[in-house]
Amino acid sequence: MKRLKKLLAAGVSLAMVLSLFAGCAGNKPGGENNNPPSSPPSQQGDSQQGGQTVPEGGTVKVGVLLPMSGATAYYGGVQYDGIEFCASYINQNGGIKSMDGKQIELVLQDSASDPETGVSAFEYLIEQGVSAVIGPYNSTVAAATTPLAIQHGIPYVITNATAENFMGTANKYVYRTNVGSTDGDKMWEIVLDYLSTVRPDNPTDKVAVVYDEGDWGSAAVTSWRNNASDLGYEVVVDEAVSESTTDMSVLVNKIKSSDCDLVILATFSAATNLLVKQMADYQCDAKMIGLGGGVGDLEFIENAGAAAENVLYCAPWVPSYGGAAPEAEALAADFEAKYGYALTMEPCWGWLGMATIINAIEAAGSADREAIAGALYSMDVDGSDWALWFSGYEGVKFCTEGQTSPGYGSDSGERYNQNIALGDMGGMVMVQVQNGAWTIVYPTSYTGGADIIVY
Amino acid sequence: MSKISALSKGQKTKLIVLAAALVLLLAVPAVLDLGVSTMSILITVLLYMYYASAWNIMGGYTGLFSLGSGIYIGLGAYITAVLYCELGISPWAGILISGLVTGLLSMLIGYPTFKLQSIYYSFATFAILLAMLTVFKNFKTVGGLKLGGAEGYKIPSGYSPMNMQFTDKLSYYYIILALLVLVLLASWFLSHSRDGYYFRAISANKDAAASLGVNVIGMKLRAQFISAFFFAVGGGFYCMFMNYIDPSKLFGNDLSINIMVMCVVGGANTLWGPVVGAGLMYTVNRVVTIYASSVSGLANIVFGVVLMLVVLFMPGGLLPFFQARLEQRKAQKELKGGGQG
Amino acid sequence: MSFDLLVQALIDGILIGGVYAAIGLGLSIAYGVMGVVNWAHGEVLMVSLYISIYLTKYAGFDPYLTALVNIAVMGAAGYCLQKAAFNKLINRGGVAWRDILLFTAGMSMFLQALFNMIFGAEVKSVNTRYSGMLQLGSIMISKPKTISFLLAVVCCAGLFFLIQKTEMGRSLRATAQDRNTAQLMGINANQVYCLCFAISLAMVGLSAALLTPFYSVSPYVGASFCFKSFIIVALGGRGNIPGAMVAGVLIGIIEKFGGVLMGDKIAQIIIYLLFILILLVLPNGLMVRKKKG
Repeated sequence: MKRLKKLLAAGVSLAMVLSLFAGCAGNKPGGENNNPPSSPPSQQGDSQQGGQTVPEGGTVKVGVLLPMSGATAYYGGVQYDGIEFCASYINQNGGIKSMDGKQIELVLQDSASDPETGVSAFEYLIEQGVSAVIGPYNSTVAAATTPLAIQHGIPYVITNATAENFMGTANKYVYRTNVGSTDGDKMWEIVLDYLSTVRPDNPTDKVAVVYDEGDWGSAAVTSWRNNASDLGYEVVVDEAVSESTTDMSVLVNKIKSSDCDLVILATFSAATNLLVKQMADYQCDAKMIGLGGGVGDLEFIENAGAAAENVLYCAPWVPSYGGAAPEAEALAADFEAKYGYALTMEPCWGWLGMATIINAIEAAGSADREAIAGALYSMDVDGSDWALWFSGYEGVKFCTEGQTSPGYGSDSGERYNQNIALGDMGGMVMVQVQNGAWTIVYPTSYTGGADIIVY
Repeated sequence: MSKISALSKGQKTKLIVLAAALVLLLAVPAVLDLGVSTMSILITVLLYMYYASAWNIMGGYTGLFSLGSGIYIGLGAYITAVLYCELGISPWAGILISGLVTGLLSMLIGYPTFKLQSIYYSFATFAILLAMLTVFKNFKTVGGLKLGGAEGYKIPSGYSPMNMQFTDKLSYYYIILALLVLVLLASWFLSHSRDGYYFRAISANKDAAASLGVNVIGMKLRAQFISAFFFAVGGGFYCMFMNYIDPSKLFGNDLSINIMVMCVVGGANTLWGPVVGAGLMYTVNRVVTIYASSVSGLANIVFGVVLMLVVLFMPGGLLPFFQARLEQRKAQKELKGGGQG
Repeated sequence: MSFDLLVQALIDGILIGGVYAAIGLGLSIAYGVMGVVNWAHGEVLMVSLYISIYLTKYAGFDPYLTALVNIAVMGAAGYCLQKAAFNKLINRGGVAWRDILLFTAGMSMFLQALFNMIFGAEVKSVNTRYSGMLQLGSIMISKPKTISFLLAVVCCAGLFFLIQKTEMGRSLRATAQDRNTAQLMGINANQVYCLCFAISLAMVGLSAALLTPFYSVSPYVGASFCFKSFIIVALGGRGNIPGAMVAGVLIGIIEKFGGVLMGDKIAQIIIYLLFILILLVLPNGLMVRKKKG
């Protein structure tokens, strides 16, 4: 028995040692110092650890935290494509010029669509000596990892993760380049205004809101709900669905019988597929406007077939809708050739975030985290910058002094470091499935001024 | 304590080895700077060992094969977080309160399910878990409290030792180590006590146990309470460690199934089985995820395969399997030695 | 709430309930005969759905005909799995259902991750010529769902016939009732178990074909149906085929009615609670059989 106990102790120690290796692999810059600051719990986000200087190496490492497995693996995968494409574009075109052409090296870690794994992965990235982190796609992972970025003083550019409950601390490390869920207010005003001009004799006033029960879905429709009554709309159906729903017939019939004219949709792939098909089955005339998720899937139209016809999508602008800069057009074609599909929202927002980090490294002229954070803090580029080639925003500039709005889910009711150069439409355009393909219908500048929307 | 001197030499050696291991565990992270990532992994491994050991009390010893550990972990997390954020009650007290409350709730939930046949009991626990998941994901406000729904509940982070908030990992490490030691001590005492004897009797054959006068329901309630208490305390610790509660994670089926798997793979109904099972499965999982991040889902493939192999070839779990092997070799040795006489 | 909405819900509930029943039946038979629960039941459906949808989409198969392929493939898989692994676990003498639960839990994780790796996580569906609705007044009845429902009923009835009237069915029932006595009477219990699991998975394969015209597949689709199958086993009674049919339809109806009256999410919670209630109050399911002699 005693030999067994010895064996056990050794075994447990072995497990510990194994975990040590798991954490220690790769270079590790001189460890974190663990002094707690003398100040009380801070709402300030100043780094409590002091800036981390990354040792001189051949490359500038940028950490990528994305869901490569789990529920949102698909979106993580395509977003990585965009980030990788951006990094290789720079690497092939002279690298970081202010650092003698140093190349960008991506360090990818899987968050498994899960905050706990995300935190562990983020910490691993910190120890790998990355100069900045981009990610994490999921709002729950963002909520869990943003405090780490602030605590360890590492620049963190948020991609996707549109919830508003993690942008509430004043700091100089966490930035978001794309829209948040509450940034749709102006856009909704414009879109709904336009829709009412297209049907002046039969305006919409009853809408249904259908959203995925997870973090993205419920955040995505917040903006809509906050503004519905102000804009004169009555929400008559308001339901959460889960991705594992097997049948939406009840919901569809409720929508049909409540005389809704418009259905706002924020659901993922399977639920969107089911809803769109069943709306067509039951001949429910309500128009559907998607906010992302399933409608943005590459195979959405193919899967839904004829039922997808005339579905609207308030989509982030992507090059395939037209109007891209010539260099962007060429690059978009390159992307399609390399990855086998045309750019969608996730890789485009990945490009935007990655390019912003690269711009910051260029401006800082160093791989030092503090310097990069500073460059992000003072960043101000306009729409002609290469970072914006694949998105419809007007530039990249962060509201470092904070914004206030009750719509923000954060405790302070404030929001910091959100990109505010989003433009009125928040980088969105409205597209519609016409003859089996996504066609841009608004702003009408893309359609030569014509109203080609089928409404 | 005269008890110690009364122990046999073998048992004394056992204690010494354990003490040495404990000293190692206490000292190494304090002396060596292991880095944030490693510390996180260590803390999480210890946490899963803790969970698996807590499950063992009701699932391993008593045969209450629960698939709903997350119910209690989640409740513990939310209660602790709300007590701290809304009422300013320090989580040091908060985790105890949530442990007690959850323990009592668990008896309420558990009581009607105890008379179910084992497999239906498991289904019932799973059903309750799924129901909790649906509630906490879909309702941003539960019972008048703003809990955030699927977006999760954020706890403002900072440095406040009186409120279990630290900026370094070491303190959290010591807390979870202490909790693990506590749950192991509890397991050890239980299994060597009369209660433990009854637990095992119920697990083996509850009807026979009842006919022998064992208060089956009472014992089950006790095991349920103890496990739920520990789960809730663990959940409270977890929410202070992460400063964030994601209901999809805590009330999700993955966590609860994994806890059960870790305990059973290591060896349910043994003291160290859950520790071995959790240590191995979590470490392998994490290592694979770190090194094969671009290969989507490899960690789960490995996890699934390991699980299938262990079930098929190591009945009773890893620990009993290796223990039996060792006993076999020892017996063979003795036979050889004796035969030479 | 308009009456029409409720009638529509009733019809939809019955139709989808038939398919639920077919899916749950596989689990019920395995549990009835062997007392084991396949935690990977949903993943088996997922694999079958991939087969069905891919054959229909890329090889031009008729969706309902893919049932034949699925039955063959899944039946063979079930037979082999039982032979190679489950029999071993059952005959070992431990707590069989726990070992199998664990083993299939591992299988479930494995299959999900494997198919994610192979096919990616995107959702795939196919549009077949079985589409469209029948209109009866203001009520609309889905054609493909009706066909699937009828086929489900026919197959369940066929299975019932198989179990009740054939030699093979008799061995199944005998082994289910008392394995030892059955073996004494010359029945090879291991063989019977293999057959039983083959039937179990074959039923799932068939159900996948029934779902193909109107559903989609992803590596994670198993979760949608797995728990419903557990409910069907509990509600319907172990191994009780007509019970499973009734249970499936009942679940479909409750889901739809609940959805109309309270919203889908609350209906879900109600179903979980109802499930627990049923377990407590009616341990043998809804159709309480009179024990013979």
